[in-house]
Amino acid sequence: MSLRNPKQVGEWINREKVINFSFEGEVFTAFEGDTISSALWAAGQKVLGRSFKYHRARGILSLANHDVNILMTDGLDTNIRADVTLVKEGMVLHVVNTIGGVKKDKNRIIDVLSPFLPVGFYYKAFYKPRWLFPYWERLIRNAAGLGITNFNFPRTLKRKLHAHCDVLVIGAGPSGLSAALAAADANVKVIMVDENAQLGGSLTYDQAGNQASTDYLNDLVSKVMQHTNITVYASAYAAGYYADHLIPIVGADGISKVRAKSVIVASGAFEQPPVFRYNDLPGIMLGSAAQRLIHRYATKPFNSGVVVTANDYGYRVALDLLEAGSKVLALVDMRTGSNGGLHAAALVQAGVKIYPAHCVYEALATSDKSSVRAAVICPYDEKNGIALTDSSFTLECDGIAMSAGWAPAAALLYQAGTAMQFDYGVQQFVPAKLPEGIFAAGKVNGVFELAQRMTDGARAANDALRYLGHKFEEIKVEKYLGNSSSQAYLPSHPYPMVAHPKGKNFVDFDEDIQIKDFENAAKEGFDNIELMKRFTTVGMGPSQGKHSNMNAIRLLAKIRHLPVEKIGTTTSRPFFHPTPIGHLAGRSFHPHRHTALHSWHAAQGAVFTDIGAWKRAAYYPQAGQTTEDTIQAEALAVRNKAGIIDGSSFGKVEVHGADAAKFLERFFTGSYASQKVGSCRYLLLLDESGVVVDDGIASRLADDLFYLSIGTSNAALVYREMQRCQQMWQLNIGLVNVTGAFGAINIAGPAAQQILAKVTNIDLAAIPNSSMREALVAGIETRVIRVTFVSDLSYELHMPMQQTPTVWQVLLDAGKQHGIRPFGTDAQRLLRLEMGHYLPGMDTDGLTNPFEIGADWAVKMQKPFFIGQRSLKIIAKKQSKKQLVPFTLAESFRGKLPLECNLVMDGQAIEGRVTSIGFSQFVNRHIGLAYVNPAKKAVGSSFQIRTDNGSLVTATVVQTPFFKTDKGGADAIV
Amino acid sequence: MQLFDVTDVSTFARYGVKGPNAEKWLVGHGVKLPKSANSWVLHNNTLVLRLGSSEFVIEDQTGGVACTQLAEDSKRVTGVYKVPHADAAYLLAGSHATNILSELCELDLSEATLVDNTLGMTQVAGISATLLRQSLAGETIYRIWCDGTYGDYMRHILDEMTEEITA
Repeated sequence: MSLRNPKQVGEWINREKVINFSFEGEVFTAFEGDTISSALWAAGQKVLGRSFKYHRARGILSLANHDVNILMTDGLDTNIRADVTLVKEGMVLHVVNTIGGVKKDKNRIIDVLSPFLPVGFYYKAFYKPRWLFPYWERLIRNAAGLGITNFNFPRTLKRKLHAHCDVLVIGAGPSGLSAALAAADANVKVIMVDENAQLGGSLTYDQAGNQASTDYLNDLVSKVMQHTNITVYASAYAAGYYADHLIPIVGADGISKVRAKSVIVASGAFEQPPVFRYNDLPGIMLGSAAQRLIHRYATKPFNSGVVVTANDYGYRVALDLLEAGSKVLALVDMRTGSNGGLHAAALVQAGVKIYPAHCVYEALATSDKSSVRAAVICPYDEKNGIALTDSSFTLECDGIAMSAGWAPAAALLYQAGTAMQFDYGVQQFVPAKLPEGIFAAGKVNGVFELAQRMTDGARAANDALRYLGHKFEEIKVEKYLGNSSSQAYLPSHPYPMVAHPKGKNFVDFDEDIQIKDFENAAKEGFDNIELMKRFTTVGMGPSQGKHSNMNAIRLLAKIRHLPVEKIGTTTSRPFFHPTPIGHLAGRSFHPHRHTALHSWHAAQGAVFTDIGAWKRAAYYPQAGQTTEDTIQAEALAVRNKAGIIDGSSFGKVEVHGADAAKFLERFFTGSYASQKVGSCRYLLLLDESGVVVDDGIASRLADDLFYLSIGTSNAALVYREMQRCQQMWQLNIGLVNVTGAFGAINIAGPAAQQILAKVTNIDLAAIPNSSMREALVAGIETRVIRVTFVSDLSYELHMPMQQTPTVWQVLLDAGKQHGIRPFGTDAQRLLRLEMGHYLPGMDTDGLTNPFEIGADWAVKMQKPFFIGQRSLKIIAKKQSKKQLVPFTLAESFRGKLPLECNLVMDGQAIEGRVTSIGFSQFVNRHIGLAYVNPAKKAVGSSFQIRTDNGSLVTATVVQTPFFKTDKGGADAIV
Repeated sequence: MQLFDVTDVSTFARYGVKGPNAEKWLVGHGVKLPKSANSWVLHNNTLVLRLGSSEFVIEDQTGGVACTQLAEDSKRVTGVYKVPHADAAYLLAGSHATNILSELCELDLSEATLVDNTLGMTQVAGISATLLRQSLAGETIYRIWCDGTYGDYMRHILDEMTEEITA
């Protein structure tokens, strides 16, 4: 039977546009603007979901984004919140968390078994016998969770924008609207956000049977929408508070990260349910939910029902129900005395029977438990929270609207660091001390009366403007009407709970938590709010306690005989509502750098690897060759002929100024004051604790100019650290980062000099190792540095980045007859390993000191100061525990190959690990570097490596280079 | 007005210089400088960006010659450090330019904050960039500069957003 009312003023639905959709296989129609829940409810569908734990039938509770038992799946999308999600044409909806559909959910048997499944039962039930625990764990894990994770969910772009304003107003209820207008009128930039599709907050549904407020609302909203200083984000929520007033606003299309100079939180309050047996049956809903159905969606909550209230708000709800055409059989007021004022009189005049000091003792379900069929009403001892059942009577009904009070929507205030205090005048937590630039207005601030909320909004705007430097007089606002010694005007009841020996009086609808669960938790010793939360799981469901935390606090206060403020609240964390991962991800920004030769590498089919932010050519695949063969061939070209590699990603820094050498002396471990112009020296950078950070080469171009070439991965970090140190040291230098401005090419191998000689204007034979010259290469000004990183004979050529392709091509052409070949980073790593060079970051870790990698020679301890020196002095006095050594495997080795990070073992003791290992075709042996016990560092010593399959492989310490060169090398191998 | 348009002006000549004597040196070469840090000035078809109190980037627009003239002076001067630039540079125009930049950049681009001739040094699409707003032929445009090695990446992002906007 349809519960839809005729067209009415202020409704949010567009009756011109009919929408067709299906729910659990049945076809329904709705109007544009309907939520899924409102459409189904209007169509007479009451069982909209199943509860998480006991699989009890559930209908509308709040219609305010807390109805987390009404989650649905539509195709790929899951856990759709039906109470706030607009229904769309063609939706095919199914309820999550059921087996066999929402009406015949097989898991509803759990409700029958619920006496055996109290909270925390799983802590005690499954640990014996121990071997069965995995079975139970799997069973429970399968039962837990909501919705179906769909790994084929399409990646849809949700933009993340940045926005800025002077005043951010969170909540577009009366106080928020008032605040926004007052702020905007002062000519500041205002952003207003509200999670509802239309502005107005409670003005859009709380009318107490009188639509007079509609014109007032329309006028207010019209002013806001037309104000040029106000930007409105509707259907979006302020998801959290982060430092410096950064608030992400989540909407359907993405996130706007708003950086506000000040924030006014006018987020209102969540209505709280009274607690009585079977208060969860479909048809029983919060008063505000009933009002939302009536005024926004022109739908009757029920035909004939009861209003149970513990505040005056229930009277307003009853009047709205009458206005909507629902029959109100009774208004049950849990409070003693005469309440409701003029609204009570209006109800009496309309023939509604009012029962003061009564309660709904329990609701009765229809035979299929799909809906409420009656309310059992009896006198209520308000003081002791006890139902006096001797005088109970039953009213047949198809719905109950319930009002018991409010909990402030103060999540963002808590996150911002607001100190809250319990105000007995309004029976809720209110801000006691707000952080700078944060202001609160309206219900969240403990102000409930409409006119006062408007004034409070203006007051908050006034405070914000004065905070921003505007000159205004301070505005003071009373927080509530009436005499605080009377409960007549209390917006919230101090203990709206009705005990029942059979339980099922639900406090938390997310997790099916009843009053007895709290009592049991306290008996178990979980009587602190945080412990109780974790034991009972109250507030841990998808609604995060929005309708349950306040009642839980009141319950615990009563159990412990403490005032509410002594119980405190649980911690509030972002996000305010669950936010899709896609929203959090936003657009994929993966910054990466290309050298000027990138397109050349790509044209050659290079396989790229990420090194730091750079895309570097790892190797150049060749037809008919495996990757390993390709890399070996590239390396062999360097050993036998010539190779060329794009080294443009190296960090490059110029240090100018009279104190340039002095700066280097302090920053690095070596000695640079005595370095001659035209020469190069090794750079080793430590941190304050003496740990190796990076290394490189310093070329001295002039007395007051050094050119540093440092590793790719750490370049940005090293440059930042140089800047930081210069800030402290204030030397007469200038640092210029030329990493992106200069390209670099390394030509290496026996033919390198011959090839380079063809295209340069200098005598290369006159350049010894570790020296540099400024020259013309292919007519381009180039810094030529003689280095031995991958080969005894190699040159690094540094030139303006844009000129790199020219030099590269000229070298390739010149080297063609010499068999020159480009090589990538994979071959480069093998070549440096053959040379016996360690790589910081690969062969060192966050604890490695220079002594452990044999870099003692690079550390000039006699200098007055360098970074890490003090730590090294301490380290030097201690016995070293590990030593990096070069090793080979036996020539005949054929077993499971050790990998990097495999452990070096001595029996059961871990002595070190492999840091680099590879097969060198040139050496014809597996070679590597590993940390071993210093006692085994001598050439010829052997140690054992444990491979991934547990086998032990013997390795032998050798000397480097791993092959024989003019300077020596591993005679034993080649 | 177009929705969004990107013009690559990376090929404009640029000259960078920093150091305690950089200001004096530039003035000596007849370059008109912005008076305060983090600001810019356009003079004789040359754009001068003052990145800090003592660091400058000079960019010749069409018809500008300052960079060429400065580059001819290769003499090293105490306290004047040349900063070679291989920047990627883009002009962003169109009615959606501000909206697009609000996704790429955290900076407040409103006219009240990024006032005339203000230079923003910030992150754009996750990388360090320099940004300004300029009125060009009556149209408000944005200009961004980033390290040239990020040019392909930046261009890819801007092209992607252009496609989205114009789709």
